[in-house]
Amino acid sequence: MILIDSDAFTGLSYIKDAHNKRANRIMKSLEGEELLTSWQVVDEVATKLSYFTTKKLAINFLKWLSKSDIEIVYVDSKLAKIVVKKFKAQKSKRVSLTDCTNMVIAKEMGVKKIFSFDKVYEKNGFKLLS
Amino acid sequence: MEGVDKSGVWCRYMANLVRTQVMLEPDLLAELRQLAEEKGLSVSEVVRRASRSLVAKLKPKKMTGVEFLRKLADNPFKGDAPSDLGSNDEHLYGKLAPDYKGKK
Repeated sequence: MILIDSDAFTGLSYIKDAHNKRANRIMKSLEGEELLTSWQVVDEVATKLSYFTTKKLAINFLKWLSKSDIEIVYVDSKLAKIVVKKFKAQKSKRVSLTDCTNMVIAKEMGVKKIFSFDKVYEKNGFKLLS
Repeated sequence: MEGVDKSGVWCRYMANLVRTQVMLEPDLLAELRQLAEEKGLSVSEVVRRASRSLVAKLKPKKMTGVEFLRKLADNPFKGDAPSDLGSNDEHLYGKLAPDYKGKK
């Protein structure tokens, strides 16, 4: 089971993104893997795509995602409390609440690998795909 | 609600079944009744199983996760946007985010 972060989705969606080639290469190794993401990631990606690319691409992202078997995990109030604890425990102010949400979801669901290029996950004990 | 059906199979019955009316040709109904009798099921259960099977067969199949990612990768934005769009949250929450003022 692998959790996908915003930068992986965005990297695949924008051909000039710094991570586009790596994201494409990693994607090819995911055949047969169970994939999941968080609603916070979906929010970030759709918003970024809409802001900086086209609204159509943002909507296609949402439409295609809803037709796929990628699991979207929603945070309830119980999980949100754990996310806040995680957020407070981060030393860097550059770690977003979305990053913390992803880490808490991953831990709760026993996910060890994350499809992302953000080193913060490694610092928190997760393995980044390469 | 749980119980044992006519064939002795332990079943879980949905408590919220809804009664509905279906018009069937007499010969189809006769076949359903015969099949139900042979399998030790009620006609309703046979109809439920057949319906579930048909729904599963006709329902559009979901893309796999990789198929979805490939669809994204095959339809990328080719215009100009920040090259660190994916990795820099400043584009979303910080000083690099678009200014809404006066824009629709």
